[in-house]
Amino acid sequence: MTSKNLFFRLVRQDIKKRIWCPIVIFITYFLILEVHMLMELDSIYKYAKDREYDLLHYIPDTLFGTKLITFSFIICATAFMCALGGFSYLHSKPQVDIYHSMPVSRTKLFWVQYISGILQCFIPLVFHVLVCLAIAASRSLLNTQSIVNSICFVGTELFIFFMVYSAVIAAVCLTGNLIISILGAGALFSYSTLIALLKGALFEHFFHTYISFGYEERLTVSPLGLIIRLKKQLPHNVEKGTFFSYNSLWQSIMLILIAVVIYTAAAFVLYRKRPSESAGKAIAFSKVEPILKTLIVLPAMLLSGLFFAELSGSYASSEQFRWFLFGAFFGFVIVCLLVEIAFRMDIRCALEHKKQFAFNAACAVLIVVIFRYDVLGYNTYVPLEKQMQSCAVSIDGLMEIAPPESITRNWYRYSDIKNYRLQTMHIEKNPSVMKLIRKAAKEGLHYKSINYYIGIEESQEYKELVEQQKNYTSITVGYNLLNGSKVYRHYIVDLSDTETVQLISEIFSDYQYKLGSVPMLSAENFYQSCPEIVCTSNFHEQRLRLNVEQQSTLSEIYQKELLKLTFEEAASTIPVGTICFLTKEDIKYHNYYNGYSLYDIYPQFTETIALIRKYGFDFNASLSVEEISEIRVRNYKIEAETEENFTDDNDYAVYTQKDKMKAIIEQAVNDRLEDRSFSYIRRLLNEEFGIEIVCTDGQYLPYGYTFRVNHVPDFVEKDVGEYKN
Amino acid sequence: MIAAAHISKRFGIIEAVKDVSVTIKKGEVFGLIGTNGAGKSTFLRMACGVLKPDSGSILIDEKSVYENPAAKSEIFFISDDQYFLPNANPLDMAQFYRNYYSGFDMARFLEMIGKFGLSRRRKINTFSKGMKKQLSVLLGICANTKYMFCDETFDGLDPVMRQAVKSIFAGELAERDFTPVIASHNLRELEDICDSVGILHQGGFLMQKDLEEMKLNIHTIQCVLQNLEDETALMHTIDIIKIEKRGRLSIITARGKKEEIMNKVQSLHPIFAEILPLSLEEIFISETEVVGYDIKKLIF
Repeated sequence: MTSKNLFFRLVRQDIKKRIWCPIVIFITYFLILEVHMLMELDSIYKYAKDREYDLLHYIPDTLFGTKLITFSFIICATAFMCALGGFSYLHSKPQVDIYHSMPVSRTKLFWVQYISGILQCFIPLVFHVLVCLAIAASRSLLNTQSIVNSICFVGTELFIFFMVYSAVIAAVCLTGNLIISILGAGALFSYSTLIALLKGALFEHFFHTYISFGYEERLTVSPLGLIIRLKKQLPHNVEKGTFFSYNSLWQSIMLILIAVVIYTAAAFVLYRKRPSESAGKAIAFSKVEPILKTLIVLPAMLLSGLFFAELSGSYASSEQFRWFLFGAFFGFVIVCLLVEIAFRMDIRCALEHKKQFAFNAACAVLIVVIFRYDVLGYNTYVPLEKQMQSCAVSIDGLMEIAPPESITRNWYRYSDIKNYRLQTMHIEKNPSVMKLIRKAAKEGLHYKSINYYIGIEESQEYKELVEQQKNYTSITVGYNLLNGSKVYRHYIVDLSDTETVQLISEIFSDYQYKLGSVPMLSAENFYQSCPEIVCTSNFHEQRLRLNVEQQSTLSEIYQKELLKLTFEEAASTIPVGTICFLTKEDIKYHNYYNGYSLYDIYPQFTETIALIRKYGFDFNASLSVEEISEIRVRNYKIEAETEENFTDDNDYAVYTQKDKMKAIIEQAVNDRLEDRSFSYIRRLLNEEFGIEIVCTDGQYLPYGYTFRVNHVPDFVEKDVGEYKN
Repeated sequence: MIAAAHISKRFGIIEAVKDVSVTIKKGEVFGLIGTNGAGKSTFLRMACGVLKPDSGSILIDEKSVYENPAAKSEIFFISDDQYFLPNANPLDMAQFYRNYYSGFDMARFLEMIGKFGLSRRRKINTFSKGMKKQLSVLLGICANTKYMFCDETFDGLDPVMRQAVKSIFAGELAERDFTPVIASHNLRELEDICDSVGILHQGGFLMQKDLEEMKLNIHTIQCVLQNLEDETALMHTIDIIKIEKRGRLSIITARGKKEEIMNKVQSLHPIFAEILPLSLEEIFISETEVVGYDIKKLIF
């Protein structure tokens, strides 16, 4: 009979039996923790002046902080090793005979093996972490936060270990031989994440309204998904005087804990229910076999279809679909045969289970039909207003201002503008929004592609396509449903449609739209966090330092004028300049601004322009010809059309006469402003021409310029308006 | 006592054991005979709790075996494909089993391993197949369990070692409550050790009998009778299973007590008559032929 002492004797015996495992773990942890730590510390000492690292921060912030994720992958490998080493005896008939004939219940045997595996990871981990702390203490780098974070580090890594370890044990119990076990464990480790990725790729391929925002949709229940989620929650910015804290990770850690419970329970039940005679077979539970086959074959079929569709290099949807069909069929047959061979471990069994083959084929056809013909109405889905709490709309190119989401010592991390808008905007009960969405969903416009060939530009088909799509722009919609879920769609609208433009105009005038689009409006005390601004006009740029009162006044006046701005004004007016608000972090770490957080100054913003003039910058100041030595005007269209015969002589003109330079300057628009313009007003600009301005000191102005439409001076048209042989 | 009632076990489409009922009495050596694939190993693996029967029950001393450590503590199973810990020596294995079997007698193990000439520190993976089997038997004996299931353990032992193992079994049987169940496909291996035997064929028991009882009730007489009429008369007076003629010599296998048969033969005043010793193999051939099987095709 077994006793508590016996339990630990058996654990000890198991560790002794596979002593190689803790030895490998011990050496790996030694290299990853102590050796790596000493190397890093040496590097910090060596380059202390060049790096902003604070030595006291290395242990709590980096080693036992941000390195958590890197180390977690070592932990995953450890978990694989411990689980496979501890439970692979289930795949050996002689071992099953000996262990299951012993006077120990399977429950106890499971826990003996389970605890043994945990100890093989836990003891070396704790030991090496203690050694690291001892090294830190010997170098006077130890502080309370280091100890707290080392405990959190060990705890988090152990939870990750538990999760992956249990998942791999479940896979081992589900299968009957080592190779299938490793494949199964890999699948269980990442299956739902891979399926989420496949789903994303499929939706993107088939549904033109599909839009994804990074990993958000891929945070799935598989261990890999949960580790990615943990990584996403890692704080990127550790304020001076503070330390890396695990507080922000608690949600992810709780999810991992839930996964630990689920996977451990699954592993235990599978172990208890696993028939001993399944040792050596591919799958331990014959009833699960067809389900597993289907779960392997169908994604593989779809993946193969996508692979061939991409490989074809075709842009025409019908041609792509033909290749998709070929790939799906090819992948389906090959994977079906391979799975049968793997499950039977006999090539002659490749064509066994014809019924299952037929069932999977039927499922495959059904899935392809659903995607191809949008049977479930993905592209046309618009929730009912009564199901919706609010919605968000992001119109491409219209007042795009990105908020700096966070900043670290080394890099900016920006929020995607669309994502930002969809997260912050909450438009309620605006009929124009729903009308626009329904119209877009019904019309189902999308950019069409055709395969390229030499001379395509002259083809009727291409010209028609360009003409048809030239006023297309995309809008992204986020539905916040009453049931708490969020649904995103991406539509194409045609700005040559007056009804569409009218609807956009009505949405633009909604306060909630501007509130959700402009970070300055939604952020609390925005001005207090931005002590400096960079003003850029058509020709000039200046950095201004503002006191709190100036910041407050500027913020107030700018917001007032921005809220008054109508869509018609925004769409038909080229801004006179931009302001970039520099945060304290911008100033501290980069001392410069980024090109995505620019606030447009429209000519209608008279009060703002006047206020900034008072502060020392004039948006309306032009460039004096006295400051210029020459202007070069280039015709990009000719460059493109005469690619092979192109010479510097036949596509650009140099102007040094003051009257001509003045005429050019009056119509020149800074291409930074052009880049920021809503596609609707791009039509106001003539993008055929490029203007380069050379100052009297021989330096080029750092910006490129173009002309307003219908404002190209005649002499320019004459000089570079058309190709001269 | 081991009591199996209507047990069946199926592996996919193969019915390895079907509706088997057998009783193995305490203190007897039970031989389980059958061809390869007859279901011997499956039966033993169910009897020691490795496999769960699909239906029916197996009780060891009235306790269910599957997932019952109390019942399993009385069983030691020697599989046909023995497993030893990686890089283990006999001492390591003894230590391994001592953790599971509280009654494991380490002193006796050390003594016996010496007697059998096995080095206690030599790695088992350098042992021959026969040596590994010896070691398994010694470990099983020293585990001091009431029941010991040996799956083809005797196949591969040399005659000397087989005798040595048999004498150990005999000693154990005499000294303590010990019931070995030995599976083999070779009747000759079991002849001089088993008390009772069961024959498995295609998953089912053909028969189960006490060996002595069978030996007492079946005999072969070699005789030369006076004339043909006497032979005809003899055939009507004794329960003849088989008769073979070699010239005037008749070799008769008949059921019944030895004295009764001889009296009936002697009453015919034969020119020559004697009882021949019967091998287990012959007994089974005879018995199974009666129930319609050609045992020679089944076993040998």
